[in-house]
Amino acid sequence: MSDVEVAPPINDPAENLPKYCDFFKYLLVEELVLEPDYRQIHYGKCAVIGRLCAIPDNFKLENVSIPHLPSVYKLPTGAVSLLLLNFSYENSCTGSLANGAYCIMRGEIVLCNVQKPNSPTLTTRGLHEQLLRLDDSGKERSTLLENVQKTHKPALYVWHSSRINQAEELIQRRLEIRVLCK
Amino acid sequence: MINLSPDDIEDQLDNFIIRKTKDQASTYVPRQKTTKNGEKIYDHIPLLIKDILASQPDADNKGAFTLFNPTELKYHSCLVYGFVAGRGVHNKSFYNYVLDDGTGSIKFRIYAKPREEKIIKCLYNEAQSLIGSADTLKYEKISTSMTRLLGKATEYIDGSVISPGSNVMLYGRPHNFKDQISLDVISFTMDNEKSRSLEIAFSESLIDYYQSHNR
Repeated sequence: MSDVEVAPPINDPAENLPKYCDFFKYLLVEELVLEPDYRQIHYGKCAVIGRLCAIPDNFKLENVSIPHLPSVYKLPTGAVSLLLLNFSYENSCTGSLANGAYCIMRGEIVLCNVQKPNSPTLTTRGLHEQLLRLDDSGKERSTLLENVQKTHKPALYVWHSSRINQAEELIQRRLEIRVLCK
Repeated sequence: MINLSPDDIEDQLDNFIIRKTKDQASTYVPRQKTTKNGEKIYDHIPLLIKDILASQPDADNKGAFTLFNPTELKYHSCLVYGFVAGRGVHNKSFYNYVLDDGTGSIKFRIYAKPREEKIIKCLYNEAQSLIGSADTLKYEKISTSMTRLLGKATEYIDGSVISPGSNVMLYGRPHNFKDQISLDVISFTMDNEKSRSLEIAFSESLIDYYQSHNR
Protein backbone atom coordinates (compact mmCIF):
# COMPACT_ATOMS: atom_id res chain seq x y z
CA MET A 1 0.00 0.00 0.00
CA SER A 2 1.47 3.26 -0.98
CA ASP A 3 0.83 6.37 0.99
CA VAL A 4 -1.10 9.03 -0.79
CA GLU A 5 1.39 11.69 -1.70
CA VAL A 6 0.58 15.01 -0.26
CA ALA A 7 1.57 17.85 -2.52
CA PRO A 8 3.78 20.37 -0.75
CA PRO A 9 1.98 23.62 -0.16
CA ILE A 10 2.58 25.87 -3.14
CA ASN A 11 3.90 29.23 -2.19
CA ASP A 12 1.83 31.18 -4.64
CA PRO A 13 2.23 34.93 -4.28
CA ALA A 14 -1.24 35.35 -5.77
CA GLU A 15 -2.61 33.96 -2.50
CA ASN A 16 -1.44 37.07 -0.74
CA LEU A 17 -3.11 39.46 -3.14
CA PRO A 18 -6.02 41.40 -1.73
CA LYS A 19 -9.38 39.71 -2.21
CA TYR A 20 -12.21 41.56 -3.90
CA CYS A 21 -14.76 42.71 -1.35
CA ASP A 22 -18.07 41.68 -2.87
CA PHE A 23 -20.37 43.49 -0.47
CA PHE A 24 -20.72 47.22 0.15
CA LYS A 25 -18.52 47.68 3.18
CA TYR A 26 -19.16 50.92 5.01
CA LEU A 27 -15.97 52.99 4.92
CA LEU A 28 -15.08 56.50 6.01
CA VAL A 29 -13.84 59.13 3.58
CA GLU A 30 -10.88 59.64 5.94
CA GLU A 31 -9.76 56.01 5.75
CA LEU A 32 -9.56 56.14 1.98
CA VAL A 33 -8.04 59.57 1.52
CA LEU A 34 -5.51 59.58 4.35
CA GLU A 35 -4.05 56.12 3.76
CA PRO A 36 -0.38 56.77 2.95
CA ASP A 37 0.30 53.23 1.70
CA TYR A 38 -1.72 52.55 -1.44
CA ARG A 39 -1.25 48.81 -1.01
CA GLN A 40 -3.51 49.00 2.04
CA ILE A 41 -6.44 50.72 0.36
CA HIS A 42 -9.73 48.85 0.26
CA TYR A 43 -10.17 46.67 -2.83
CA GLY A 44 -13.73 46.18 -4.04
CA LYS A 45 -17.17 47.47 -3.28
CA CYS A 46 -17.90 49.96 -0.56
CA ALA A 47 -20.46 52.46 0.68
CA VAL A 48 -19.29 55.88 1.81
CA ILE A 49 -21.32 58.52 3.61
CA GLY A 50 -20.34 62.13 3.04
CA ARG A 51 -21.22 65.61 1.87
CA LEU A 52 -21.34 66.21 -1.86
CA CYS A 53 -19.08 68.96 -3.09
CA ALA A 54 -19.35 70.17 -6.66
CA ILE A 55 -16.22 71.85 -7.92
CA PRO A 56 -15.58 72.87 -11.52
CA ASP A 57 -14.96 69.79 -13.67
CA ASN A 58 -15.65 67.15 -11.07
CA PHE A 59 -17.36 66.05 -7.89
CA LYS A 60 -15.96 65.22 -4.51
CA LEU A 61 -17.33 63.62 -1.39
CA GLU A 62 -16.31 65.38 1.81
CA ASN A 63 -15.93 63.70 5.17
CA VAL A 64 -18.52 64.24 7.88
CA SER A 65 -17.42 64.92 11.43
CA ILE A 66 -18.26 62.06 13.79
CA PRO A 67 -19.20 63.44 17.21
CA HIS A 68 -18.29 60.52 19.45
CA LEU A 69 -15.00 59.54 17.87
CA PRO A 70 -11.88 59.93 20.08
CA SER A 71 -10.56 63.44 19.48
CA VAL A 72 -7.26 62.22 17.93
CA TYR A 73 -9.17 60.81 14.99
CA LYS A 74 -11.77 63.52 14.71
CA LEU A 75 -11.76 65.86 11.72
CA PRO A 76 -14.18 68.72 11.06
CA THR A 77 -16.70 68.20 8.27
CA GLY A 78 -15.19 68.93 4.88
CA ALA A 79 -11.56 68.58 5.99
CA VAL A 80 -10.76 65.88 3.45
CA SER A 81 -12.54 64.77 0.31
CA LEU A 82 -12.69 61.79 -1.99
CA LEU A 83 -12.79 62.15 -5.76
CA LEU A 84 -15.95 60.78 -7.41
CA LEU A 85 -15.90 59.17 -10.84
CA ASN A 86 -18.88 58.29 -13.00
CA PHE A 87 -21.11 60.73 -11.14
CA SER A 88 -23.17 63.62 -12.39
CA TYR A 89 -26.52 65.12 -11.41
CA GLU A 90 -28.09 63.47 -14.45
CA ASN A 91 -27.16 59.93 -13.51
CA SER A 92 -27.68 60.34 -9.76
CA CYS A 93 -30.30 57.92 -8.53
CA THR A 94 -32.23 60.40 -6.42
CA GLY A 95 -33.12 63.57 -8.23
CA SER A 96 -32.66 65.90 -5.29
CA LEU A 97 -28.89 65.78 -4.93
CA ALA A 98 -27.22 69.17 -4.85
CA ASN A 99 -23.98 70.75 -3.74
CA GLY A 100 -23.65 70.37 0.02
CA ALA A 101 -26.16 67.52 0.31
CA TYR A 102 -25.42 64.55 2.55
CA CYS A 103 -25.52 61.26 0.74
CA ILE A 104 -24.49 57.62 0.62
CA MET A 105 -22.42 56.71 -2.41
CA ARG A 106 -21.96 53.10 -3.37
CA GLY A 107 -19.42 51.82 -5.81
CA GLU A 108 -15.91 50.57 -6.27
CA ILE A 109 -12.62 52.05 -5.11
CA VAL A 110 -10.08 52.74 -7.84
CA LEU A 111 -6.79 54.61 -8.06
CA CYS A 112 -7.22 57.40 -10.56
CA ASN A 113 -4.41 59.13 -12.42
CA VAL A 114 -5.03 62.79 -11.66
CA GLN A 115 -2.23 64.07 -13.87
CA LYS A 116 -3.51 62.39 -17.03
CA PRO A 117 -7.30 62.52 -17.00
CA ASN A 118 -9.10 59.71 -18.84
CA SER A 119 -6.17 57.32 -18.54
CA PRO A 120 -7.09 53.81 -17.32
CA THR A 121 -7.64 53.52 -13.59
CA LEU A 122 -5.73 51.21 -11.30
CA THR A 123 -6.93 49.11 -8.38
CA THR A 124 -5.18 48.06 -5.21
CA ARG A 125 -4.86 44.57 -6.62
CA GLY A 126 -3.50 45.86 -9.90
CA LEU A 127 -0.86 47.72 -7.93
CA HIS A 128 0.09 44.55 -6.05
CA GLU A 129 0.37 42.66 -9.34
CA GLN A 130 2.61 45.31 -10.85
CA LEU A 131 4.83 45.16 -7.78
CA LEU A 132 5.06 41.37 -8.02
CA ARG A 133 6.33 41.56 -11.59
CA LEU A 134 9.29 43.65 -10.46
CA ASP A 135 12.54 42.42 -8.98
CA ASP A 136 12.68 41.36 -5.39
CA SER A 137 15.37 43.92 -4.67
CA GLY A 138 12.85 46.35 -3.27
CA LYS A 139 14.36 49.38 -4.91
CA GLU A 140 12.32 49.19 -8.10
CA ARG A 141 9.25 48.49 -6.07
CA SER A 142 9.61 51.52 -3.91
CA THR A 143 10.18 53.74 -6.96
CA LEU A 144 7.01 52.38 -8.55
CA LEU A 145 5.07 52.94 -5.33
CA GLU A 146 6.39 56.48 -5.06
CA ASN A 147 5.47 57.23 -8.65
CA VAL A 148 1.97 55.86 -8.28
CA GLN A 149 1.50 57.82 -5.09
CA LYS A 150 2.52 60.99 -6.92
CA THR A 151 0.27 60.55 -9.93
CA HIS A 152 -2.72 58.62 -8.58
CA LYS A 153 -5.38 59.42 -6.02
CA PRO A 154 -7.95 57.07 -4.52
CA ALA A 155 -11.37 57.67 -6.06
CA LEU A 156 -14.83 56.16 -5.88
CA TYR A 157 -16.36 54.88 -9.09
CA VAL A 158 -20.01 55.56 -8.26
CA TRP A 159 -22.72 53.02 -9.07
CA HIS A 160 -25.47 54.28 -6.85
CA SER A 161 -26.15 57.38 -4.81
CA SER A 162 -28.92 58.35 -2.44
CA ARG A 163 -29.58 61.40 -0.37
CA ILE A 164 -29.89 61.19 3.41
CA ASN A 165 -30.59 63.64 6.19
CA GLN A 166 -28.99 62.23 9.32
CA ALA A 167 -25.48 61.52 8.06
CA GLU A 168 -23.74 61.68 11.45
CA GLU A 169 -26.22 59.32 13.05
CA LEU A 170 -25.87 56.77 10.29
CA ILE A 171 -22.07 56.91 10.17
CA GLN A 172 -21.82 56.31 13.90
CA ARG A 173 -24.07 53.31 13.83
CA ARG A 174 -22.27 51.87 10.82
CA LEU A 175 -18.99 52.24 12.67
CA GLU A 176 -20.37 50.55 15.73
CA ILE A 177 -21.58 47.67 13.58
CA ARG A 178 -18.09 47.34 12.13
CA VAL A 179 -16.74 47.07 15.66
CA LEU A 180 -19.21 44.22 16.26
CA CYS A 181 -17.91 42.37 13.19
CA LYS A 182 -14.31 42.62 14.21
CA MET B 1 1.08 61.39 11.91
CA ILE B 2 -1.23 58.60 12.79
CA ASN B 3 -1.01 55.67 10.46
CA LEU B 4 -4.46 54.24 9.86
CA SER B 5 -4.89 51.20 7.69
CA PRO B 6 -8.41 49.93 7.00
CA ASP B 7 -8.05 47.13 9.49
CA ASP B 8 -6.70 49.40 12.14
CA ILE B 9 -9.66 51.59 12.68
CA GLU B 10 -11.82 48.92 14.27
CA ASP B 11 -9.00 48.04 16.66
CA GLN B 12 -8.67 51.64 17.68
CA LEU B 13 -12.32 51.86 18.47
CA ASP B 14 -12.49 49.41 21.32
CA ASN B 15 -14.30 51.87 23.49
CA PHE B 16 -16.34 53.45 20.79
CA ILE B 17 -19.91 53.46 22.03
CA ILE B 18 -22.22 56.17 20.91
CA ARG B 19 -25.57 56.28 22.55
CA LYS B 20 -25.63 56.61 26.26
CA THR B 21 -29.28 57.19 27.07
CA LYS B 22 -30.49 53.70 27.73
CA ASP B 23 -34.19 53.47 28.13
CA GLN B 24 -34.89 49.98 29.37
CA ALA B 25 -38.59 50.22 28.60
CA SER B 26 -38.03 50.77 24.90
CA THR B 27 -35.31 48.16 24.40
CA TYR B 28 -36.35 45.66 21.78
CA VAL B 29 -36.84 42.15 23.12
CA PRO B 30 -37.03 39.31 20.61
CA ARG B 31 -39.39 36.47 21.32
CA GLN B 32 -37.83 33.27 22.61
CA LYS B 33 -38.92 29.72 23.18
CA THR B 34 -37.28 27.19 25.45
CA THR B 35 -37.08 23.59 24.29
CA LYS B 36 -37.29 20.49 26.47
CA ASN B 37 -33.49 20.44 26.80
CA GLY B 38 -33.51 23.96 28.11
CA GLU B 39 -32.16 25.51 24.91
CA LYS B 40 -33.36 28.96 23.99
CA ILE B 41 -34.53 29.48 20.43
CA TYR B 42 -35.12 33.03 19.29
CA ASP B 43 -37.63 34.51 16.89
CA HIS B 44 -37.63 37.97 15.25
CA ILE B 45 -34.02 38.51 16.25
CA PRO B 46 -32.08 41.32 14.54
CA LEU B 47 -29.00 39.87 12.83
CA LEU B 48 -26.15 40.81 10.53
CA ILE B 49 -25.97 39.13 7.12
CA LYS B 50 -22.42 37.98 7.82
CA ASP B 51 -23.74 35.92 10.75
CA ILE B 52 -26.75 34.55 8.88
CA LEU B 53 -24.43 33.31 6.13
CA ALA B 54 -22.27 31.59 8.72
CA SER B 55 -25.14 29.87 10.51
CA GLN B 56 -25.73 26.15 10.40
CA PRO B 57 -28.98 24.18 10.48
CA ASP B 58 -29.50 22.90 14.01
CA ALA B 59 -29.54 19.12 14.13
CA ASP B 60 -31.70 18.79 17.24
CA ASN B 61 -34.35 21.33 16.46
CA LYS B 62 -36.07 21.21 13.10
CA GLY B 63 -36.18 24.55 11.33
CA ALA B 64 -33.75 26.20 13.74
CA PHE B 65 -30.32 27.58 12.88
CA THR B 66 -27.23 28.09 15.02
CA LEU B 67 -24.63 30.80 14.78
CA PHE B 68 -21.57 31.76 16.81
CA ASN B 69 -20.98 35.47 17.32
CA PRO B 70 -19.82 36.00 19.97
CA THR B 71 -21.59 33.16 21.74
CA GLU B 72 -23.76 30.34 20.49
CA LEU B 73 -27.20 31.43 19.47
CA LYS B 74 -30.14 29.49 18.09
CA TYR B 75 -32.92 31.08 16.11
CA HIS B 76 -35.90 30.33 13.90
CA SER B 77 -36.54 33.66 12.26
CA CYS B 78 -34.69 36.94 12.05
CA LEU B 79 -34.85 40.58 11.01
CA VAL B 80 -32.36 42.16 8.62
CA TYR B 81 -32.02 45.60 7.16
CA GLY B 82 -30.10 46.41 4.02
CA PHE B 83 -29.71 47.74 0.55
CA VAL B 84 -31.17 45.83 -2.40
CA ALA B 85 -28.02 45.32 -4.43
CA GLY B 86 -29.43 43.28 -7.27
CA ARG B 87 -32.29 41.39 -8.78
CA GLY B 88 -32.33 37.66 -9.45
CA VAL B 89 -34.51 35.85 -11.94
CA HIS B 90 -38.12 36.12 -10.86
CA ASN B 91 -40.37 33.13 -11.42
CA LYS B 92 -43.99 32.19 -10.96
CA SER B 93 -43.78 31.67 -7.21
CA PHE B 94 -40.89 33.89 -6.08
CA TYR B 95 -39.38 37.30 -6.51
CA ASN B 96 -35.61 37.01 -6.09
CA TYR B 97 -33.24 39.74 -4.97
CA VAL B 98 -29.87 40.29 -3.31
CA LEU B 99 -29.60 42.15 0.00
CA ASP B 100 -26.45 43.85 1.26
CA ASP B 101 -26.03 45.31 4.76
CA GLY B 102 -22.35 46.23 4.67
CA THR B 103 -21.26 42.99 6.33
CA GLY B 104 -22.16 40.56 3.55
CA SER B 105 -24.67 39.93 0.82
CA ILE B 106 -27.39 37.32 0.78
CA LYS B 107 -30.02 36.20 -1.72
CA PHE B 108 -33.59 36.53 -0.58
CA ARG B 109 -36.89 35.51 -2.07
CA ILE B 110 -40.40 36.74 -1.52
CA TYR B 111 -43.32 34.46 -2.19
CA ALA B 112 -45.64 35.81 -4.82
CA LYS B 113 -49.17 36.00 -3.48
CA PRO B 114 -51.31 36.23 -6.63
CA ARG B 115 -54.59 35.48 -4.82
CA GLU B 116 -54.14 38.17 -2.18
CA GLU B 117 -52.90 40.63 -4.76
CA LYS B 118 -55.95 40.08 -6.90
CA ILE B 119 -58.38 40.45 -4.02
CA ILE B 120 -56.78 43.65 -2.82
CA LYS B 121 -56.66 45.09 -6.32
CA CYS B 122 -60.37 44.30 -6.83
CA LEU B 123 -61.29 45.92 -3.53
CA TYR B 124 -59.15 48.91 -4.43
CA ASN B 125 -60.95 49.36 -7.74
CA GLU B 126 -64.28 49.00 -6.05
CA ALA B 127 -63.45 51.69 -3.51
CA GLN B 128 -62.07 53.89 -6.26
CA SER B 129 -65.25 53.66 -8.29
CA LEU B 130 -67.28 54.80 -5.28
CA ILE B 131 -65.43 58.11 -5.14
CA GLY B 132 -67.18 60.65 -7.22
CA SER B 133 -70.29 58.71 -8.14
CA ALA B 134 -73.16 61.10 -7.47
CA ASP B 135 -75.49 58.99 -5.35
CA THR B 136 -72.75 57.89 -2.96
CA LEU B 137 -71.39 61.31 -2.11
CA LYS B 138 -71.86 60.57 1.59
CA TYR B 139 -69.40 57.66 1.34
CA GLU B 140 -66.70 59.72 -0.25
CA LYS B 141 -64.60 60.08 2.90
CA ILE B 142 -64.72 56.40 3.68
CA SER B 143 -63.94 55.31 0.16
CA THR B 144 -61.00 57.72 -0.09
CA SER B 145 -59.41 56.31 3.02
CA MET B 146 -60.22 52.80 1.81
CA THR B 147 -58.29 53.39 -1.43
CA ARG B 148 -55.38 54.75 0.56
CA LEU B 149 -55.39 51.77 2.90
CA LEU B 150 -55.68 49.23 0.14
CA GLY B 151 -53.02 50.99 -1.90
CA LYS B 152 -50.68 50.76 1.07
CA ALA B 153 -51.60 47.12 1.59
CA THR B 154 -50.45 46.23 -1.93
CA GLU B 155 -47.00 47.58 -1.09
CA TYR B 156 -46.65 45.04 1.68
CA ILE B 157 -47.86 42.09 -0.35
CA ASP B 158 -46.53 42.65 -3.82
CA GLY B 159 -42.85 41.66 -3.93
CA SER B 160 -42.42 43.18 -7.36
CA VAL B 161 -42.45 46.71 -5.93
CA ILE B 162 -38.91 46.23 -4.61
CA SER B 163 -36.31 47.62 -6.97
CA PRO B 164 -32.53 47.44 -6.78
CA GLY B 165 -31.23 50.53 -5.07
CA SER B 166 -33.95 50.69 -2.43
CA ASN B 167 -33.66 49.89 1.25
CA VAL B 168 -35.73 47.20 2.90
CA MET B 169 -36.20 45.60 6.27
CA LEU B 170 -36.97 41.91 6.02
CA TYR B 171 -38.45 39.44 8.41
CA GLY B 172 -37.68 35.92 7.34
CA ARG B 173 -36.16 32.51 7.85
CA PRO B 174 -32.84 31.24 6.55
CA HIS B 175 -33.08 28.57 3.91
CA ASN B 176 -30.30 26.07 3.39
CA PHE B 177 -29.96 24.69 -0.10
CA LYS B 178 -26.78 22.81 -1.08
CA ASP B 179 -24.93 24.52 1.77
CA GLN B 180 -25.89 27.93 0.45
CA ILE B 181 -27.83 30.04 2.89
CA SER B 182 -30.52 32.31 1.50
CA LEU B 183 -33.44 34.03 3.14
CA ASP B 184 -37.13 33.21 2.75
CA VAL B 185 -39.01 36.40 3.43
CA ILE B 186 -42.19 36.33 5.47
CA SER B 187 -42.81 40.07 5.41
CA PHE B 188 -40.98 43.20 4.32
CA THR B 189 -41.05 46.99 4.67
CA MET B 190 -39.49 49.48 2.29
CA ASP B 191 -37.54 52.42 3.69
CA ASN B 192 -36.66 54.97 1.08
CA GLU B 193 -37.11 58.13 3.09
CA LYS B 194 -34.23 60.54 3.41
CA SER B 195 -34.37 60.41 7.20
CA ARG B 196 -33.56 56.68 7.33
CA SER B 197 -35.18 56.54 10.75
CA LEU B 198 -35.98 52.88 10.26
CA GLU B 199 -32.33 52.08 9.52
CA ILE B 200 -31.19 54.00 12.60
CA ALA B 201 -33.79 52.32 14.80
CA PHE B 202 -32.90 48.91 13.44
CA SER B 203 -29.18 49.45 13.99
CA GLU B 204 -29.86 50.53 17.56
CA SER B 205 -31.67 47.31 18.40
CA LEU B 206 -29.10 45.27 16.56
CA ILE B 207 -26.18 46.86 18.40
CA ASP B 208 -27.97 46.58 21.75
CA TYR B 209 -28.69 42.99 21.03
CA TYR B 210 -25.15 42.02 20.07
CA GLN B 211 -23.71 43.92 23.01
CA SER B 212 -26.05 42.26 25.48
CA HIS B 213 -24.78 38.92 24.18
CA ASN B 214 -21.19 39.96 24.59
CA ARG B 215 -21.48 40.19 28.31
